[in-house]
This record gives sequence, C-alpha cells and structure tokens, in this order.
Amino acid sequence: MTPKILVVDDEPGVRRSLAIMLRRGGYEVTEAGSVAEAVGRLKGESFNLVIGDLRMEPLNGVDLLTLARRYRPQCRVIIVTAFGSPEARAECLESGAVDFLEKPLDAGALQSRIQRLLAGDGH
Amino acid sequence: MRRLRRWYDDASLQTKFALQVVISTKLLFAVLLALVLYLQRQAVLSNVEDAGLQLVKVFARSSVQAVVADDYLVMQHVVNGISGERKILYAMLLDGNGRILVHTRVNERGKIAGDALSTEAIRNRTPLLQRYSTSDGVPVYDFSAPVYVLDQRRATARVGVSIEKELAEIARTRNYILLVGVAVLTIGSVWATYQARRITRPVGTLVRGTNEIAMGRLEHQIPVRGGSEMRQLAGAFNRMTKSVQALIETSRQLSSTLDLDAVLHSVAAYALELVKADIAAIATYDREQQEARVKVVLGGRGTGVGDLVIDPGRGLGGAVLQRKTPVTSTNYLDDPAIVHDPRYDEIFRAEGVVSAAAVPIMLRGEIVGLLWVAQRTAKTFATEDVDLLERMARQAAIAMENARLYQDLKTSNAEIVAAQEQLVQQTRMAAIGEIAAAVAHEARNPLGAISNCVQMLRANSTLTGEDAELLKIVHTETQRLNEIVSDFLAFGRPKRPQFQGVDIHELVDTTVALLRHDDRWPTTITVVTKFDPTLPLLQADRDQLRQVLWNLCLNAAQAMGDSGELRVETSRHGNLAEILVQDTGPGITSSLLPRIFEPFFTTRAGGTGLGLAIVRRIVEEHSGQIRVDSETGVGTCFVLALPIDRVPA
Repeated sequence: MTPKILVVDDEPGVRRSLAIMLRRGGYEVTEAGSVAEAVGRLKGESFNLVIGDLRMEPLNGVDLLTLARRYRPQCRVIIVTAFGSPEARAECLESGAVDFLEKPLDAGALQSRIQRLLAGDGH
Repeated sequence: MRRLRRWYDDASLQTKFALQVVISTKLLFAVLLALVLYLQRQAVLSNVEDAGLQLVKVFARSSVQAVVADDYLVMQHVVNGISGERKILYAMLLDGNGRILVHTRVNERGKIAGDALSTEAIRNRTPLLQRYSTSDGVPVYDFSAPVYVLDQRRATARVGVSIEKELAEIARTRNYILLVGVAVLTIGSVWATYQARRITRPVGTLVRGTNEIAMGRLEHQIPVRGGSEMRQLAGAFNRMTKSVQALIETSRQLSSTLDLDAVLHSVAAYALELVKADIAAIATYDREQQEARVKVVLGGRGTGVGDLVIDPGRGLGGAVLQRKTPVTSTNYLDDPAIVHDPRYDEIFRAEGVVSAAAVPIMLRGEIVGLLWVAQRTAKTFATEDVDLLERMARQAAIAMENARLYQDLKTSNAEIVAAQEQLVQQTRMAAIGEIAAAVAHEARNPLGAISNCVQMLRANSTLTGEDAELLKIVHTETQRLNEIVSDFLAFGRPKRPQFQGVDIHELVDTTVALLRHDDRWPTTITVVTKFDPTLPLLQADRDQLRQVLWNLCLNAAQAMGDSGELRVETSRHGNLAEILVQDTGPGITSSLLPRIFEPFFTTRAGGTGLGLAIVRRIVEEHSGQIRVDSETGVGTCFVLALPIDRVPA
C-alpha cells in the first residue's frame, strides 16, 4: 500500500512543486492550502505523514501540529520553514513534530529521510 | 540700681503698667498730702499768729497807764488777766534794759532777761513773732510788742503761746489723712493691677499669637476683643497672618506643583477669604485673541461666570485689561464709569453681584490675566483689599509663568525625544536598507540568469503536464523573487525622483491594466475610477508614482481576496492633487494602523512589509502626504495629497 502524505503550505508554488516531487518519489500526495483545509482532510482519512509549513496565516505550523495530534494522534508531522530559529525548532519538536527542516529542501535528503521515517509502516 | 533697671526692662507689660499707675498715684498722693498739710498748718498757725499778735497789742496798750504810773499791781493784774488761758505760757513786760517789770510767774520779776529772744523783742520797733521750743520740747510762739507812751518807748510786752495743741491737731489730721490715704492707695493699687491686667491681656494674647505664628502655626487666630484700638490691632493682625498664610500656602503650592488649575484655584480661594468676597474668579488673557477667558470660579451660582469671555474695555474686567490697573465698583450695575455690556450685566444680575473689584495679573509688564472678586452686598473695596488682591494676583502670575515654562519644557522635551527616536529609526533603517540592498543587488545577477533560462525553456517547450507546471512555477517564483529584490533595492537604495509632467489619470489606468495581468490579481474584483477632469499634469517621478499606485492597488486587491470593489478617485484642492485608493476589504485593526508604514511590518504571509514603507517615502520625497482610514469589516482608504507644482524644498 502506497504511503499517504499530506502537504500543507499556503504558497501554491512551494506546495505544488513539493507535491510533484513527492509523487514522483512514489507517494500518494494530498495538498492543502491552509491549516483548516488540512484538518478537514485529516478528519476524513489517515495519512502516514504530514509535511507542513511553519509560517502560514491565519493558523500556522504549530497549530497544525496541535490539531493533527488531536484528530490523528499516531500521525507523524514534519515542519518545514524558510527561516527557522532555534526557538521555533524547539517549539515544534515539543509540540510533537518528528522533524524540523529548513527550506530549500534537498530532494534526495528529503526522500531518504521520509523513507527512514516510514520504514516501520510496512516498506 | 542697674539691676533694678534691668529687672524693670525685663518686666512684663502688665507689671510695668501696674507699677507706673501705683507710683504715679502714690506720688500724686504724697504731693497732695504735703500740700494739704501745709495749708492746714498755715491756716491753724496763722490763726494762732493773728490771735497772738492781737493779744500782745492789747496787752501793750493795756499796760500803758500802769507803765506810766509804774504801778506794778496794775501791771500784775493785766498780766494775770492775760494768762488765764491755759495755752498762754507766760506774759511779761520788759523795760528798755531787759529787766522784767512784771511776769506771770511772780518770782521772775526784777530779773534781767538777756536771752536772744528778749534782746530781739526789745530792739524791734513793731510787733514781732519769734518761734522757738522750750527745753522740754514745747513749741512756743513768742509775741512781742513795744509799749509806747507819747511816742517814747517805755517797755516791751511779751506773750508766750504754746502751739503744742495746734501741732498735735495738725499731726492728728495728718495721721488720719495718711491712714485713709494708705487705705485708698492699697485699694487703688489692687484696682490698678487689675486694670493693668485687663488692659494688657489683649496685648498678651497678641504676643502669644505672634509666638504661635513665629513657630509657623499660621492658622492661629487671635480672638478679637477689648477696646477699639485693641480690636483694630487684633483684626489687623489676623488679616496680616491670613494674608501671610495665603502667600505662604500659595508659594508652597507654586514650588510643589505645576498644576496651574490647582494653584489658580487656591489663589481664588484665598482672595475670596481675605477680602471676604462672595465670588472670586481668575481669567487668563490671550494676547493673540485679545480676550480673557475665565479659568476658575469660586462661590458662583453656576450662572455662567465660568464661560465668560472678557473683551478689553468692556465691563469691570475689560476696564482692568485696558488700563492694567485695579478697578473697583461699589455699585457695579449702576456704575456710570463702567462700559456696560449686556452679556456681563445679565450674568452679574443673576449672580446678585452688587460690588466688584478686579486687579490685573501682570508678568514683566504684560497683562496675562485678571483676578476678580464680587460681593452680593454693597461694599467699598478699601486700599488694603486691593493690596491683598494684587498680592494674590502676583502669585497667580508666577503660577501661570511656571505652567507656561513647564509646558514649553515638556514640548521641547517631547520634540527632542521624538527627533531622537526618529534619528535612531532612520539610522537603523538606513543600515538595514543598506544590507538589504547589498544582498538584493548581489541576488539580481543569478536571478537574471534564472529568469532568462526559464523564459527560453518556456518559449521552446516540449514539456507537458506536471513538467510544464513545474516550469511555470519556476517562472512565477522567479518573478516574485525579482519583485522582492526590487522592493529591497527601492527601499535600501532609493533613487532621487526625476520630476516631469505626469498625467495621473493615464497612469492610474495603465497601472490597473498591468495589475490585471498579474497572477496575484483576483479577477473577480471590480475597479471603479472617478477622475477630476480639471486636474492638470503633476510634477512627479512617473516610475515612482506608478510604484505607489501599484503597491496601494495590489495591497487593496490582495486584502479583498475574491470579491470587492477597488475605487480610485482624484480631486483638486488648490495646489494639491488628492488621490484616493479605497477597498472593501476586512480593514485594519486600529491598534495596527499606526504601524503599517513601518518597514518590514506586514499582516500578510509572504509579504516583505516594504510596500507601504516605499509608498510613504516616495510620497514624502514628492513633498506630499499620505493618510489612512480603516474600519474593520468596512474597508481601508488611503488618501495621497501631492503638490501639483513643485514647491522648492
């Protein structure tokens, strides 16, 4: 069964390109343009992984972490950001993020990281 | 003696007063006593003298025949007849040689009387009185008279009269008077002491009052009692201390507070109390407006004294403003010396004002206000009342000056702080701008290369599906990056505006047309323009002005999202062209509104926060102004005001 990934970013360019990249890596990717939309998706189906941007309006990546854990306590979330401070990193990890990555994302590195993360899910 | 004098100098007023009264009455009594005694003695003794002289003359005449006849028996008879009275000590006849012809004591007869008295008696040609005391101390008047027989002196008659009884009488009278005198004096002294105390008591009270005041208890008041002088003194003293207290209190306030209203209030309150007025008011004079406005009213009935505007020359206050001297009026409403104004008279009639006085509040020869008091009963304001008011007016003047200085200080301080903050902000922004511009400048070259490549790839594309989409994303994001870089450069390295005639309406139209082709522009937005056809060409930098319109319109469109109306209007106000950019978006919270022109401040994800900062700077470089109104849920409106013709900076 193909692992399902939810990509959450309010900037279409970033979201679309990441989605295409992951799809080509063999994952089933769903896109959400806002935290609200992502939560809607999470309510309806379960994902193996959620990749969300930190800086979004009106709800941000930390809100996404909180809400994701509420509806899908088992779901793993990676937070990505264009400019990450150590404080933001600590806050995200404390809120339950499995990883905190800075943009720009290296395609190869990201792929291998995701593979390791999802290794226990039957791959 | 010196000690006595020192004691007297240190003695209380009461002691001195009593002592003076007692000493003077005693002295008077002593003089009177001496006089009375002298007169009494004179009266008694002159009776004795007259009687004695009469007796010796009679004795001399009665003896003439007997002397002629050398008849001793007759002589003895006459002598015996004279000495019948007890106080007659002796009677005798002497011949020219001092031999005693006859004597009341018979055994003296024939003896020669050689004593000084006898010699003098024989020698003297007229009746003579000689005074002496016997060896037993009995005071004696010795009367003598010559016995003439046909102008020839034949003998001398002598009678000795004891005045012991008279002197005893005089002594008794003296003792009696002394006794009564001492009694009267004792009572008098007690009375004098009592009176002294009574009269000097108010002085003592005054002294105690002075001490109280000297110790700083200015609220101490002396009871106004006693005679009219003392009452006046105490009254004057109380007024003085009240006046001093008022001055001290207002001075203390002056040095402790910069609250003008508080000081003026207290000055008015003291003025009210010191001149016992019913209403007091203080007005401050505005030299530019040429009018005084009432700042403080005390004791009014709320009939509008507080809202009075006093014009120079009109009413009592106006007279003071014009003459710069105190003006008083015993019967204000009927005073022909006042230029009456129905505005004032109506209020004063309602207040029941009868008498009024006002003094100018002067500062360095300039009138800065006036202190006004009024009475609801007829009162003639005395010089001392006016003096007091002027004294209070000086306090008010100082307060006004202090307040003005303080305000100046505050204003300058605020200006300095603002200038400093602005300087710090500008320096910070310049540094940030410089770094941003440097980074942006360096980023432009690789960006240019990417942009060229992407354009070439897109122009000759065999890519389809997701690949074509990826290329489009590269293209869009490159454009975005270019704009960000341009914003940073525009902010960090602003160009000097190149002024030329710009048709603002044409510029609005072309900018909106360009925006419609931008990916970020929501196609569902309505754009409404309303142009003022009388607006001439603006002297402006066309590119910079387009940037302003671009930023404002794009902001508005992005704020509105999918639906809404963007209005762009122009209008002319003198040399100013007003350009209004209004949206129907969600509006900006009032707490954020002051910050929207700050660089790097943004409410939108993905925004650089430089758009409005650039707008403001361009507008300012065009000597224009920008303001913003926003209401949450209604929309936001930016208004630019730009000079049509260049105003030399």
